[in-house]
Amino acid sequence: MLEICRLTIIESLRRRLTLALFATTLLLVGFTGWAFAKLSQLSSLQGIERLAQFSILLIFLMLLFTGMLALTAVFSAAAAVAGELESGIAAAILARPIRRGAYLFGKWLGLAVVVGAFALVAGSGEILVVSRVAGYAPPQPVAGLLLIVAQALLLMTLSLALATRLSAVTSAIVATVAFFLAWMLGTIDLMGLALRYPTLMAVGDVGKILLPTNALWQAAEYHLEPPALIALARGFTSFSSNPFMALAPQPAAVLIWAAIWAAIVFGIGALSLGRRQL
Amino acid sequence: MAHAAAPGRDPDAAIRTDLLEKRYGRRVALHGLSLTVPRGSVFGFLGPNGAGKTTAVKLLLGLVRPTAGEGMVLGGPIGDPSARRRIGYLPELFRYQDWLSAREVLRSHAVLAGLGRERIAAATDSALELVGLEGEGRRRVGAFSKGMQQRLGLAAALIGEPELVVLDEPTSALDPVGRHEVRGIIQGLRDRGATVFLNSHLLTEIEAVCDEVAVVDHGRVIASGRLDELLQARGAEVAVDGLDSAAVARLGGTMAAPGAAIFPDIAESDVPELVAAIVANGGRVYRVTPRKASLEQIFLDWLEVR
Ligand SMILES: Nc1ncnc2c1ncn2[C@@H]1O[C@H](COP(=O)(O)OP(=O)(O)OP(=O)(O)O)[C@@H](O)[C@H]1O
Ligand SMILES: [Mg+2]
Repeated sequence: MLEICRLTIIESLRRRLTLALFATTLLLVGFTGWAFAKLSQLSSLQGIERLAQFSILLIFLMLLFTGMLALTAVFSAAAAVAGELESGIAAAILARPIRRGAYLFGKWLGLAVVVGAFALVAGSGEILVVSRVAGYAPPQPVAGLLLIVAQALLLMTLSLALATRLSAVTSAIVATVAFFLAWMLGTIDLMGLALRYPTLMAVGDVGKILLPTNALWQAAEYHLEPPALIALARGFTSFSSNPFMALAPQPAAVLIWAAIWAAIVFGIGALSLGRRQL
Repeated sequence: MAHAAAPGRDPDAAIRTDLLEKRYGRRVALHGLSLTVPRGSVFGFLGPNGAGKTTAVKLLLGLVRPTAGEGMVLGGPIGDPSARRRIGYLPELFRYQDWLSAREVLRSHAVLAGLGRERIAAATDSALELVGLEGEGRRRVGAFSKGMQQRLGLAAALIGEPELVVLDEPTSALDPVGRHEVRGIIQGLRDRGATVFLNSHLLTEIEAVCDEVAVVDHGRVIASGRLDELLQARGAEVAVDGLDSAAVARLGGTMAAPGAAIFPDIAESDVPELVAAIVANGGRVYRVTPRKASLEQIFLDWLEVR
């Protein structure tokens, strides 16, 4: 299992995935640093307004980063599993005394290391550069980043499980669609909350259970927002349905469910690989 | 013996299957396959394209699940990971990680096969040497020719001295020299006491190395047995005159041409008696030629008989 994990990491190094991610990180952090330096020079806003400006911009950047990370996780997992199964590389490996579940978990672990390392380096790079050049830091950057990583791992697990049966492209597309769908359902949920309209809220809840990625993003968002801003926004009803703000923390049950969800999806993937003809 | 044997009859068998069956949807790839491969033998599994050879091998390794029947490999039920520790396998469509070097591929196979850390380097070296890739260990597999990749696959199947080596058409991409070398490798395995299960439709290859063979066609075993028995000289051609065809027929032969009688059921040990009988009937014998069967002829006969 550890050998499979090791091979997966080597693959991402040799195929220059790691290099590409590293280059992207440099570009991203450099560009963010430059933009925020300009902004803090030229912006005349003060106090809570300035806080709001920086915080909203940073959260939007983190949202885009989350999307990037999700796509990275989804595509690399799909390629790593479906590619090996289709080419016949897996047949030679799985004829060895290794259980298919262990093989899949080795892949998961290797990919998680790559995706997690990219997320932590690039994400903390973003936050650090902003705090350096603009003097603004979100209140709980570590918790926020970890939740963003968790979201990427959830999508990676889904893509991995799909790739035990489907082709790489199909798995990656389905997982990507699921990611956006969860986001849409999350927005419907917010609308339901604002209008206190139970049907909409129910749709949102079902979405949260089926794919808890968006809930994790909202939890991350909450940790990245200054409390003063949240307190302020709570005063306006219109803000409660703003998809770019989380006014309440996610209940712990959401986190627990996300972990269980990942375990279930992985289990389904392992079963499906176990029954596959090679 | 490689014929329909119930499991349990030969506890020392390396492979024993009982009515193993595989269907893909409505298509039957393998009808109830029952065979026993004794330990230490080189077993040739022959058959035309699409006969079910690869399916049988994949069933034995647990890569596909049987739809019916059961089997044992090295004392464990098929698909049992602990038995797979002692099996080396070269798939028909061999592919290894392009981005690794040959040495790294073998290393990872050694690790997965459960070889101890201290044995891995030596095992990798000797496997590379055995297949003639000793100078290529550091090169990326992606830059290998097809034949070199098959050699690498062979090395992966041989690493760690497995008790059972399953080779699915091991020479399909090899040049004549390579084919000859594979023969040597298989003989080396036999000398070491390993069992070899060899899938092939190259009859000369089978003829040169196998102790036992089974012929499969359309998913059924249509013939099997010890190769030396199958190939045993059977029948004799006798150059003779002074006998009419009725006399030849009485002795169990037929006149193929004037002066040439064929006795199809005569074993080599019966030749002196046959000659004596011909002489006693007034015939004059000029020459007796044993008729040696080739596996190819037998193979074609079998496929026709079915
Ligand atoms: N994955 C599959 N799905 C459907 N049918 C299959 C599958 N694999 C094999 N078959 C069918 O099973 C039969 C046996 O195939 P198999 O690959 O075992 O033949 P083979 O004896 O190895 O032939 P060859 O000499 O061409 O390698 C064929 O009719 C084939 O079409
Ligand atoms: Mg085949």
